Amino acid sequence: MALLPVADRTELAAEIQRDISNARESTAALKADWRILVDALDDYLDSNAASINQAIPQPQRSRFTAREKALAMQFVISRRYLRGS
Amino acid sequence: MATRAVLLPESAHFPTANFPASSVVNARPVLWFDATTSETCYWTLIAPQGLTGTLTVVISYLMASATTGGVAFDVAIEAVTSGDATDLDAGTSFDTVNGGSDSAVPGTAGFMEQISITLTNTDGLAAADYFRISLARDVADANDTATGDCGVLAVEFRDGA
Repeated sequence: MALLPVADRTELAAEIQRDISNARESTAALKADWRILVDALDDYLDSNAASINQAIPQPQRSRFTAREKALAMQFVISRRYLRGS
Repeated sequence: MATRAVLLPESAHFPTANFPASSVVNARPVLWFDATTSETCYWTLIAPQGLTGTLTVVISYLMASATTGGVAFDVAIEAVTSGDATDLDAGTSFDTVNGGSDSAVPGTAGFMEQISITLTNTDGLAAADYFRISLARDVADANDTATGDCGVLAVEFRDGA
């Protein structure tokens, strides 16, 4: 998968800010910081997608679709970093 | 300097798209302006008798989340005098916007702060005019750096009396 289009990255940075505002979470980050964060994470995932995939043992790696693996990754990240926050 | 009107969230009017969300914080009415999409609202008034001198607006706001950065707003006036050749049914005739900003939002989200904006472009506003005040967060302004929503609690309209 290629890098996310610029419009998608821009919209993601806006969505994250709306989410934080709706939750009334304090943040010292500036508007521009969110876009830099989104860009960096998307760049990283694009560069390292193959190695993340390689971290899944066979035969499970082949049994799961890319969407299923992405969904699992989302749940693991959420449980590790967002639980209780 | 005299207070000529106090504009509250409940009396605001909204365009059909890109308007601030209306809600309450601890039963205080507030209009939430997005950080990335420019949103606008209006107040409609009759200019009070005795209106004189330099006009200013003072925006009372709070941030939903941000504890650093700044916010910027644009204020515009549309004044219509009795008999003016302005077709209210056909469009708007706002004067050039008056910009203003606060370079440092409160260090604690939820604290209130005020921004004073001098109105140099008043569309010739005079006593008895039917007029509108437009308020928009200037999300593209270099000073508008704060994350997330900015909530407007009230706008005070002053003149130079």
